[in-house]
Amino acid sequence: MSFTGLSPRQASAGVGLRRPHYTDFLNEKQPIAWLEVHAENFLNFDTPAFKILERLRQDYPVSFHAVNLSLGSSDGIDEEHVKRVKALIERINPFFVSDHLSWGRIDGYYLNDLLPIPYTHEALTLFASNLSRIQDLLERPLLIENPSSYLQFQVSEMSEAEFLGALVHRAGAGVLLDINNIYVSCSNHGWDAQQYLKAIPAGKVKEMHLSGHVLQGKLRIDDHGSQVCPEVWDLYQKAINIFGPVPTLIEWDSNVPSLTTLLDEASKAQTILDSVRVPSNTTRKERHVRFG
Amino acid sequence: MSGLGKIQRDFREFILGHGYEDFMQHIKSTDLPKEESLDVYHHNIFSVHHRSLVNDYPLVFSIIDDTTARRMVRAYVEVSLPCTGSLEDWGGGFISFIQRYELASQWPYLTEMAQFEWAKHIAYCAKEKPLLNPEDMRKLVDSSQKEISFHFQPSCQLMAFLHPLEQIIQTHQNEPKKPLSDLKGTSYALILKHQGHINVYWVSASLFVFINRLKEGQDIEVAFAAAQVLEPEFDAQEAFSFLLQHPILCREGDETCV
Repeated sequence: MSFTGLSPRQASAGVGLRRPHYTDFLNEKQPIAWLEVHAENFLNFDTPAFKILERLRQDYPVSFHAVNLSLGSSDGIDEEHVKRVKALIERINPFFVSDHLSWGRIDGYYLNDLLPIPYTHEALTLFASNLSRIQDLLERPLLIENPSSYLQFQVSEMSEAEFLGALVHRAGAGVLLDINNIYVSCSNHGWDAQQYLKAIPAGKVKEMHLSGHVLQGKLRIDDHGSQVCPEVWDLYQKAINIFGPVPTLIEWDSNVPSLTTLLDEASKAQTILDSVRVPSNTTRKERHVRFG
Repeated sequence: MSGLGKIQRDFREFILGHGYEDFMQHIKSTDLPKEESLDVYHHNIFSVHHRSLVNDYPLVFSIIDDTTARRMVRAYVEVSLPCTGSLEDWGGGFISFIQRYELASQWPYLTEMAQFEWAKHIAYCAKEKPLLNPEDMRKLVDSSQKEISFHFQPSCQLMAFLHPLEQIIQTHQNEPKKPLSDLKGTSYALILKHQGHINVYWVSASLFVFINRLKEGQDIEVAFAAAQVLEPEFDAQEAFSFLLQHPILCREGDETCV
């Protein structure tokens, strides 16, 4: 299983497709290279929302960002839910499918949040097993997104970046690097963002996310409810310099602004992507470090 | 039980309102107050479920006050966590919850309001089939078949209420300070989806009975007789006009609209 042929040919900026913007997209072709949707919002093919997605897929490449595959659940995977996601993949043919370094289901019940896992060898084995099984069922590799983190576990045996790197290597998956989440988590826990980036295996990063966050007391909270802040843009530039240009999404899910505002944010990301020259073949080989 | 399994079960118990100390023991002590960290996840989980219920029941949540809304959502989540990966499947159980929830009793029509709104959700999720047009109807009625079968759109639902829901909704929207519990009477609705939009038709009791009998597969004579019990002057021609003027009937077969 590989990512060959799955991504858009040129690294480009995309936006999340959100209900307030359906009419904008249906009325006119918008200047954006691709769209991302939450897969779980489109599992029923008879809803008007699905019809809209199917219609827009004719004009835009689409990426799926799942939230309930619950890859880190000690329950194992929910095969019924995976089947529904697979049926959606077969209808829409997204170029990427991603979910999170988290869990959300236990004893058959869903909590509907991206919940933290301890970074232990036990968790790594279980997560890799769940991920491999899901990739087999979906017949494609997944991207795993680093989470926004608000607590750490006593029992953790490695860093989050080390865990993520080991996981994608073991399961043959890729990384969706959420730059805002790195900033939020590092700020909350006193981690070094540069060291975090260096610990992610180069060559595994296939997509990036950018979004806003809010400061609440001592915590930065990833609320996807505002513009990307300057510090996150800086970190994004550093990440692109390390990993090369990859499809980059502007995530804005709450206090959703006008499409114009969203597209403006995307154009900032596109400017950064365009500024990084595609390295020559020799340079690319030097930059791709084998993990493990 | 694996270490990971225990952590995840302890987290679930914390969310359900018990086992706070058990889960706290798993968290590494840092400069971040543990309570604030846990509040983030607690808030996220209840916010997501609150939004899902508001999406399914906008009228219900516009009628009840914010404090009752928060308490109801919390109480409902604690007894009924979703068991599928799609929140679209989850909200149906909220109706029987409202029926049992003591604080909701101050709004006696609330359960029926929730039934009405969930029916609209069901219609939203249903297939749409090609409409039966007047020519199709003429062929159907003129056919040599003794019994005529009418096929209703999969989204079509007929609902009878003990409260005057149409009046309650209009009063709530136009005169928000007027007490809604003073409004009395029954009401009847036909709900369906057409070209992606949910349409609601408030009909008379006799028309409701007539259409409902046809929908149940009974023949025209039986449906007409049942309607006449409620309204001796019931006009079947007018009823058929209603069925044809609105996108209620569909052609037989599995074809669906794109």
